[in-house]
Amino acid sequence: MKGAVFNGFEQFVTERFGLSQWQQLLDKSNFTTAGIYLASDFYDDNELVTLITLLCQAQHIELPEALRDFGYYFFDILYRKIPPAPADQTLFDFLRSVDKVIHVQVKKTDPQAYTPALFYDSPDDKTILLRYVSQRKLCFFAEGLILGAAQTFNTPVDVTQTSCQHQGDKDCIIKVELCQQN
Amino acid sequence: MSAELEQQIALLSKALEREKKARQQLEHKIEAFNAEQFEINKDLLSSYEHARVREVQLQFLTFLSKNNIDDKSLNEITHYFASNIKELFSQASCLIYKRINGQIQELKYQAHGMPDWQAIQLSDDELQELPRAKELNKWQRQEFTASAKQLAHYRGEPTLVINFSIKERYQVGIVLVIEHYCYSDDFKDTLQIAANQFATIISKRLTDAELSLNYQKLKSTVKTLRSTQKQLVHAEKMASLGTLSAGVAHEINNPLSYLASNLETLNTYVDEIETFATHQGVAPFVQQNSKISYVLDDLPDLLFACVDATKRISNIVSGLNSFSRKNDENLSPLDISYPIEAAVAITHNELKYKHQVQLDFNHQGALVSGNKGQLQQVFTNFLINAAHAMPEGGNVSISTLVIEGNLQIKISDQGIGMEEKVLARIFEPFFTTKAENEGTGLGLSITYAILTAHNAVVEVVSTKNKGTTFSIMMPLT
Repeated sequence: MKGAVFNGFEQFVTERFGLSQWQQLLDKSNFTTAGIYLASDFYDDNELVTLITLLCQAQHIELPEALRDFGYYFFDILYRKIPPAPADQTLFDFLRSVDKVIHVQVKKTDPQAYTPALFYDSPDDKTILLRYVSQRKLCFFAEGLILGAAQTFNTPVDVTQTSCQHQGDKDCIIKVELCQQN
Repeated sequence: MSAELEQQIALLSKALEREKKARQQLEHKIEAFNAEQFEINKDLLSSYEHARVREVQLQFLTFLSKNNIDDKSLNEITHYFASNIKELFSQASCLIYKRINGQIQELKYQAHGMPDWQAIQLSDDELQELPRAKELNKWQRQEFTASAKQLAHYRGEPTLVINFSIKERYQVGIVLVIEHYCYSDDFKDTLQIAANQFATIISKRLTDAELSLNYQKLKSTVKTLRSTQKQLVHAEKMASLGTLSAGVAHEINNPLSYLASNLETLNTYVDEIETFATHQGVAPFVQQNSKISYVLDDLPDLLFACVDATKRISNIVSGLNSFSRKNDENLSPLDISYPIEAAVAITHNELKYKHQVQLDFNHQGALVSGNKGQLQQVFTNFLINAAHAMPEGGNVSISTLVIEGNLQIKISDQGIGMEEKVLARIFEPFFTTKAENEGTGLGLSITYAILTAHNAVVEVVSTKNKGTTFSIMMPLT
């Protein structure tokens, strides 16, 4: 996992729960990295999972919820790092460009970066389906990112998963539907 | 907290911010460096990725087309195509239907992981719910309607539907029931290319089939034309011969009448001379003159031979008249079995020792317009000819069958058969393969003339040493 994500998580925890919470997570996790994460470098995925799990325990929240919240928070940080979107770009346009634009930006900063693969389907004008394929299985984090994007694009959506690897399904399929008022 | 401590914390916070900014600047530099490196290798990486995808795409399409160009039926290649496309999707099942004139004619279903296609039946309501593609030869993603989801065979949510137009009003539809359609653009492109390829293959296959069909039709037409031409030439020849025969018969008939009449008178004269010669006063003189005596002895024999020859000439003239007569007098509806059975009865004595006649009537009382006496003559002639063609004996079969408003009568023997050049002339008057005094060569000519007057068409098929079949087609009344 890229250090930038760890930095984002540090920022998320510090803002939401305070610097002391972050320090507690670092103390409890006892990693050799000791909380020193360079944005451009890569770190063990398990470190992030452990940190999030510890946060859930400390704050008594469910892991999917924590990941979703972090994704929602992190989108803003991520969005500022990529080239500005065209003025007429919609949320769905943006989501469709994630694999070809945003992940390419990630590859630019580190060619060896592992990015999830996203495959799209549009059953109708108000719905987009994303098949999330990643060995990290962070589909809830992806859900949060989508919700963050919806907030940025000022487009209310319902985000659900029609199938999920955490539920024993073969794929994680995330369904994004425009809310009725759209 | 003391002021000194607060100052210390503030200083440390500022130092921390500086460190953070220094780290961020360093990270930006690294990212900038990496981005520069990425741009340098971007084209190479992009080309590599493109080539890799195309290679996989090409492998699949080559595999698909290689097997499709094998000699398979349209159904087989459709099943093969659908099965392979289905295997690209996990958990997919597939439905193939034929739609002719807008109606579903055949439904085949292949469940996920099953190699066999099963025929299935759907109710009219269920058929209405079948997904339909709006454009030909193009995969279209559709959602099931609520009632379609009730169909027992369907699983999954979205479907991929494609319709191929095999020919006008004839379509083949393929419905893939899949769990999702979240795939890359390259994957979807490959599917569409495969569909285009398949459409080309079936189009070519149909063109080939149509070409083959047209070729067969053309061959059949040429054959019919040649046969018609042959029949026309033959009919023309027979008509010319009929006119010639009528003229010859007419020219012979008049002198023949004088001859027959004069021979009758002459016979009376001879009787009178004989009476005179036996008179007492003349008899000794006649007996003394050997020449006169010989003449008087030979005269009745010569006269008898002349009268006999005149009768033969008269019969030939009568035959010629029969051949040239074109009228259809005395035709009335009749069951063809009557003249046939009568002919069999007439020829029984001649055929009973060495030949067997088999009758196989399948016309079930269908009537033709005919003259019983003339037709009896026709079948008698055929039976006699058949017996002559089998001097050592054999079977003669006569069968009937109704074909498209016509009565077909077949007379077959197992005789010596005829060569092509003989076959071409058998209906000509005076043409015969028999010895000089065994036939006049008018039998088949008269037969032909009678049948033609009955609007019948006669065809002959003969194989040397195997037999001959005369096939007569007479219009039903």
